[in-house]
Amino acid sequence: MNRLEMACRWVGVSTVISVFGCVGGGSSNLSSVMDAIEGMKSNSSPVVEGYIQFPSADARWAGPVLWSVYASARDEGQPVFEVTPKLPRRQNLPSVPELSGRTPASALGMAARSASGAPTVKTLGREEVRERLQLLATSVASFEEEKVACVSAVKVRLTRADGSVLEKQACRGSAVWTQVASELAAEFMDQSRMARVPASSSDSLAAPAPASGAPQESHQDQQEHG
Amino acid sequence: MSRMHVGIAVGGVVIAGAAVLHYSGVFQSTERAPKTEVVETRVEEPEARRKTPAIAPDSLGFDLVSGAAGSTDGNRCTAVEYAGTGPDVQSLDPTIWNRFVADYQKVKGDLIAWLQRHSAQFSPEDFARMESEMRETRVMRPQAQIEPDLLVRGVATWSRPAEGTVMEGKRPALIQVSDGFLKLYLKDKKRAHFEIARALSHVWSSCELGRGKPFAAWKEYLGCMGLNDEQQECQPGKISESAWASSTALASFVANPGCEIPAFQGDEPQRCLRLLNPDGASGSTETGSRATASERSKETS
Repeated sequence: MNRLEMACRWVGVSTVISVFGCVGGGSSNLSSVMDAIEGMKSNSSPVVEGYIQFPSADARWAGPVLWSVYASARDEGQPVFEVTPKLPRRQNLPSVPELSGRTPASALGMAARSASGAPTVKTLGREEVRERLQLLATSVASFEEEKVACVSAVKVRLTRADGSVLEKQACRGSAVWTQVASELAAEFMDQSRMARVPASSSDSLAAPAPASGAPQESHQDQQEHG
Repeated sequence: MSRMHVGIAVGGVVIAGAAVLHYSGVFQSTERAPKTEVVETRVEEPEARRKTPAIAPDSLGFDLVSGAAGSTDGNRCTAVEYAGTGPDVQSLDPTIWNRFVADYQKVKGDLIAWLQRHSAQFSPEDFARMESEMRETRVMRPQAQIEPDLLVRGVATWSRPAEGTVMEGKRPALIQVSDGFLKLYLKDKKRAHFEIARALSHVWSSCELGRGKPFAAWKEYLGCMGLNDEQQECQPGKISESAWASSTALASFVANPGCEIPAFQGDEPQRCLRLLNPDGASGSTETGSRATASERSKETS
């Protein structure tokens, strides 16, 4: 079974468990879960933009730098993928436009192989990117807040077409949603390495400007605001 | 109706029910998550693989995505990360992983030896827990089913698996190592050993040992290094500055990175480090050039 499918089931199962668990545990927990569910139900606006970031420690420790993965599926055209730091381009890797509406499970986070055996990567269309961002939004909204401090963290900021924003940060590997974020980050990083644009304009895949809505360090916790 | 008839009837109902559930796919839908394989042992090369020539590391490309070649800026350590090969490219020769695991165990042994030499700094309970947690920490290569972004990265990440994730009855800390990090290991062994030590030392970080509160034994050092109370707090979901401060110091005691950590440059930070390590300073090129046992053995071989 694919990880994303598993995540979907986890989201569903854990929501049910949470609801039943919270009935005995207290009304405040129950109301927060119900709020999350209601929020997801009521807001049918598609998630059109997402940042997945892996924050870093202070530079004086010479640890890893901040990694940021950005995907945008706002407009009618091809989705945009940007990664900081910039990854090297794939060499001799043909892209395969996806014609069907839904990506086979085997294609998520993995590269397909062409008849010649050479690895190929599916190019994601706008709807596929939106589907993935929606899945991440659902998994983010269904889980409780982090309880411990982190050595390495994952942070997401998802924007809907209506302008509302969902943000959350947690420790790497601590929840299903962080693993979904990891899977999407890997897939979007792969997409960013494909030659969607002429080689002469490769600079267009440079790091996104911070002012364009990248999550700021001060935004730490889950917020849904419009 | 006799008891036997009742028994047969009940048994028949149970079997029929099971058959219905089976053919309706109920049992099939309970597919379990892929089992997490924690690899900390040597990888046996399959016969077929031994016959194929090993991949030359350079053929994979050493794409430096952050930091500078040699991982220093002058003599200052900087971030350094080589891009991983990704999920679709054949991985490095397994013999490299075997060599890496041997070095990892050596670095872990050096940290435990440091702890034993400095046991007086800790209560008996803390000492026992620190030694146990370090010994139980596992190392593994990232797998596509777990955190696939690490297949593209070049870091060794420390994490504590989610609650409910149990391995052999315990919940050990986990260090995931990507091919990108193995490239660093091939290019700059000193820095890689330091990073392994730092990743391992996270299990002794203030918030881990203090179970969500600052660990008393590190408090004086962290204050000396200029971390205020807020930076020493264990804020849920946020990067712990104190974890990086303590793990970087502990790593420098057992593995010289071959460059100077910016935070440790100057006399005052060296004084702070002596609070943790009274018998020496940090393992930087100028101030603490003590070679670890593992480094000494390599230098003489």
